[in-house]
Amino acid sequence: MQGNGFKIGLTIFFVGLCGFYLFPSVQNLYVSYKMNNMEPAERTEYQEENRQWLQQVDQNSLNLGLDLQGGMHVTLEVEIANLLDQLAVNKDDAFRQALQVAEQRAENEDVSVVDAFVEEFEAENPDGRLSRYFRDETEGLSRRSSNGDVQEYLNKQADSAVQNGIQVVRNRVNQYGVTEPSIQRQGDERIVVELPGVSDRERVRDLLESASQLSFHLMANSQQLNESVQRIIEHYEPTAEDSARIAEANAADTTGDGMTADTSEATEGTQIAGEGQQATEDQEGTSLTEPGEQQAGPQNPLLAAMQPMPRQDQPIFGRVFAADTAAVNDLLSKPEVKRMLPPGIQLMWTASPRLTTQDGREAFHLLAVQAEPELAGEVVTQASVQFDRQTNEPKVSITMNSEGARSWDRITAANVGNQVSIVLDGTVYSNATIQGRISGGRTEITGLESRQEASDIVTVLQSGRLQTDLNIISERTVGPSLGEESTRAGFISVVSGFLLVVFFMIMYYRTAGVVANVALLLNLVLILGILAGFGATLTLPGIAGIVLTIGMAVDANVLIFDRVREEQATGKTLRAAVSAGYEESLSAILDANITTFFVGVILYSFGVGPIKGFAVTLMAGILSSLFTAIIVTRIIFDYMVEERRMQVSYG
Amino acid sequence: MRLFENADYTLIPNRRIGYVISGVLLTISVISLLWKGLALGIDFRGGMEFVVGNTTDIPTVDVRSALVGSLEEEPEVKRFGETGHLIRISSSEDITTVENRVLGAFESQFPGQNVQIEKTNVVGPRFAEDLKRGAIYAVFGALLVIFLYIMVRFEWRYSLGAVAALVHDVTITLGLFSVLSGIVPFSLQIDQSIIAAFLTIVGYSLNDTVVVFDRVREYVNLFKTEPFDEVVNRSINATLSRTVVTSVTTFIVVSILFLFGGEVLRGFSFALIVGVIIGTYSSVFVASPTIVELNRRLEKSVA
Repeated sequence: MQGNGFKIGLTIFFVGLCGFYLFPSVQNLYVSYKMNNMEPAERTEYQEENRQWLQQVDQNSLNLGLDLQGGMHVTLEVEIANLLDQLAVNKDDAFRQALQVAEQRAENEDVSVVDAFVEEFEAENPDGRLSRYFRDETEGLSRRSSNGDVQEYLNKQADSAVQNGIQVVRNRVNQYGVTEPSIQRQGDERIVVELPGVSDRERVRDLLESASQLSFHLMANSQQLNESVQRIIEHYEPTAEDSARIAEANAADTTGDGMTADTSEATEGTQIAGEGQQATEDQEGTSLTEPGEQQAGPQNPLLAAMQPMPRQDQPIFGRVFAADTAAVNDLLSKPEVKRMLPPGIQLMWTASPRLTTQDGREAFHLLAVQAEPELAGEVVTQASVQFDRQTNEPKVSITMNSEGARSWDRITAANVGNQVSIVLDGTVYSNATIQGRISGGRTEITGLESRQEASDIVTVLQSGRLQTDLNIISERTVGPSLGEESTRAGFISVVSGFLLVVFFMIMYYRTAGVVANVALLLNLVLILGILAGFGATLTLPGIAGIVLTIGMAVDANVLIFDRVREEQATGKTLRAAVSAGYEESLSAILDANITTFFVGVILYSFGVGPIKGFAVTLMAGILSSLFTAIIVTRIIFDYMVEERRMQVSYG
Repeated sequence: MRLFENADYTLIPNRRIGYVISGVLLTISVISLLWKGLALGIDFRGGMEFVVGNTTDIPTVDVRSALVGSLEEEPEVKRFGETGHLIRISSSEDITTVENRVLGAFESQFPGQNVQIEKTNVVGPRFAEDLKRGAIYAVFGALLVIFLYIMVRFEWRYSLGAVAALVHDVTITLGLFSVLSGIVPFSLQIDQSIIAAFLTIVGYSLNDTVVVFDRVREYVNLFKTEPFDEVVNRSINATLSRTVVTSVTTFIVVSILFLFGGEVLRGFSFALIVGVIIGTYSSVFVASPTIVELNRRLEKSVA
């Protein structure tokens, strides 16, 4: 038994680690079971009280794939060829032909559009210079730039177009109000969007595929807006008394970026930091959620989801938590409500949250923007982050072309003191007050909260002036009932597969079979623990992988047990036979499992979506079955044979 | 309980029987693959797939004829589970348009059934190309890695034997998919999950083969005076009990997946069932005879 201390320690460590990672999942199961048994009112209250904890438990538990919980999985592709076409000047036939061939090649081969384009162009025009099509002084691209430089520049542009696409998708998804969406980049030009629980496929498709366009808009007059806010709230008011609450509504908050001509001082910067602190948790509680619930009578559905924010300096319609945006969209999209808005005014969400509560909830502002753009985003020739010489505060500098500068001069002159907003794709990325007339096309946005905010605005301005088209190239949706059915089928398969194998092993190997079954049970815990620890997602093929592992995991033990039987047949004592059995079968076990593990690795590298889930469980299964078969069962046998001098039966 | 203990079957001397069985199966498979071909799923072909629910009472034929009118091409319609239908359309039109046509057809032809779309799967042509490329890389990559690993751990003859068995298994399973497609009541189209199943078969069959080879490696040194054929035969017999037990447990679980795993996993688990049987067979009757034959040729050329 000496020398087993390390093995025992290792086993306890791994099992403890898996227990640690699986604990939240078990908690989650328990909590959802408990909540299912509660009355609806009790449940909401419970959810309110433990919001932060529930969220944490949910985040740390084993993720279920969309094929099990239902939802929508969409792969989007950014049209890079279109982007190159927009970036290029002096386009001729050579350019068009190279682009067309590149587009086809990218479709059939494993090559990016940019690389294929450069290769094609160089093959067709050996002396041709790509710099005649692409110029960008801020990126250091001139007439004399080499084709390699241009290629690098184009790759960079393509990359930022995809980045921008991700940002656009994220905003659209946030507005749609999905819980726990996942938006990830895949490869060079693809974006994978996963939306759990979404069933309105048509709306999501439209939302994701619609073209994005950058523009500058004037905003609503605050006073006019406040009157419409009152009217719309009254429209939803079931009783008269509720309207009094609007007056109480919190009028604190002092955001506001100042847009100034050339070099003005940023005076508002200091006031902005207050935002996060002002709205503390209890303030939210009293003014947002609770009043409606405490009242016995009917409540105003709009006020339940939105907090009005009457302000003089900014046309804010209201503040809404991310979870409620979908509800507010529904309420405000009714035609009779839209008619109550000031003429020509449209409501748009801010791109980033304007408030984050201590428990991590994010709130967005709904702003009143003039639907007609004043200026299109194409007029922006350059945008960059700069720092104020005196205060060292970040600011955004924008340069416009001459045509844009002329219009901008006229617009700013007529609207000094009013707000203007930068809108991409129906979302407000920045809104600021015009401090004075801006001539010459150079504009600065000051009073920004952070360098990050400034560079976000620059990203939007730079890539937003180009239209990024997103196309759905693959979509998988699973309805909630089918997901439930699959979960049940998977559960039944795991349990019945496990029980049958356990029964068979005991029948065949008797006592040794019982030990192998202990190892098998431990295997299940370890696999799930590995999945939870690495943040992997459990999919239906993943469950199939677990079921398969149950059948194959016993193999290592079967190899050992059969060897022990063989050794016993040669007349060895039990002790010697066990020892020889483990040693002699080790090479076969390792070789067999390593090759299978390689197959899992390859499957993981080339598979997409659910197949990856299968590969992950297969690999986790091989690792855990190696561990349990070689180490855990050995500890048990050593204990039984050497410590207790038991006569272990190998059947 | 003990099975095949002290087994002493004359397997290697009778390997020609195995050659005949494998030869017949391979010929049928290749002919069917060439003649009938494989039904590629939308993963590799592109297209749309819808699963509609609440169609228990509507016969498949009626679903098809209802859809033909409103869609531009004839869809493929199959039962899906007990309460639904699977509809496959190789259209490249807008998803929403097609989806609405499908739902519209159900609403007008079978009013009051409350037919709903339970599942969609849409793969664009470009994405399908990528998936196809990925699948081909995966299969060949797996074969190459296995060949190299066995070569490092054993020697090249064993590598060839192992890979021969894998090619044999995958060809016959593919052949069975080709022969049975359209005959069995579930979908046998080749999609990503089937590729995953094939690679699992490759892994499983290899598992069996490696165990036999490991014993051959051991016995070659132990029984130096015996001819190689005898040694291989002895090795197969010595590991037969383990081969059977592991096959039984694996067969149990894949059968359970086939029976209880639901419609989504039907084709996948079918491939695994076939693979477990063929993989066990091939490690005894293909992989081992290959190294015996290779050894003969080699000895002859040396002598």
